Amino acid sequence: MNVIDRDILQIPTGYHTVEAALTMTELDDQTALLMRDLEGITPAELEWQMRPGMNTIGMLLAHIAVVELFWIRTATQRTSVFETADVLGIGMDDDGMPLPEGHEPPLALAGRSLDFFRDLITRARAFAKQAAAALSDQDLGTEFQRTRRNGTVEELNVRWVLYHMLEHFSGHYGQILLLRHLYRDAMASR
Amino acid sequence: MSATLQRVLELSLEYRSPTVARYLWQLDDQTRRLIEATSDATPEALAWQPAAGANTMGMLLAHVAVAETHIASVLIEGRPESDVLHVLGIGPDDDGLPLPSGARPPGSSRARTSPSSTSCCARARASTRGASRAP
Repeated sequence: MNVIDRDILQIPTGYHTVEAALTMTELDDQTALLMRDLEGITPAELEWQMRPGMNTIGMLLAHIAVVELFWIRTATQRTSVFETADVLGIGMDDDGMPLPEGHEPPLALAGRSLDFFRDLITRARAFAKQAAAALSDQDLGTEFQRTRRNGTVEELNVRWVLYHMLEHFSGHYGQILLLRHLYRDAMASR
Repeated sequence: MSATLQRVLELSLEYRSPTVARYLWQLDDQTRRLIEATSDATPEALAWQPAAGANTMGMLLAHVAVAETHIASVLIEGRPESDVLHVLGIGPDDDGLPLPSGARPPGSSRARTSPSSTSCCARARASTRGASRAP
């Protein structure tokens, strides 16, 4: 019998916990699928806005990288570090999100190619993998508190942070696909 | 005093595997948030298409339930076929996906309300939970 499709989720080695290993391999899978879906995308499409004030695909890609780095640092250092330039080369707010109503995309992302955004995500992922590899089962259940930039206090555990990194990525992945459809329709109706 | 936001992922002991328990918790969390985000959607909003041939929210909600029911039955329980109609009350093709280019949403999804979508998702989840607990 010919095997025409193979969907096997393998748990990578090098992690102390299966949960952290699974999350990182799931993130890698989502990234590979996203990059496949973005193959051939132009800088013009990456910075296209449906209308002023709306997110671009480039902003969402930068946001994915920034947020992944932010959360793995929060989970492993137990403190919110609002600084990403040391790892990514762009700051926490350079994704431009949330974009104020009526605004254009941030200049820091103007004219960037897919390679630029792929590199951001690759850097964030490398950092996340190294940090996640050191987590133990006991670490995953550890509860801690943090204060958000708006002053809200939240109580969370490291296990939730790993889940959030994945669901955050996937939520924006769906949004990116929708933007590609809308861009195609907008160009066709010109 | 300001309220504290709770974001703690706790593993249920009702599953034989903690990995399965984690996935079910994650699915429940996603569903809860999806239902919250669509709870005030009118039947018109659920049936709205940005362009002919594009998916509606109602179609996607039905698709989520249909796909989950099918996966639970065929890929988790190992049954040769799924019985989506029996579990959800709608057939496997009633989500209308993939919608042909230029087509309108399927008639079966046009008059759906948010509570009926919620109930559909709940029935799908019950089938996943049952399949995941089976010895």
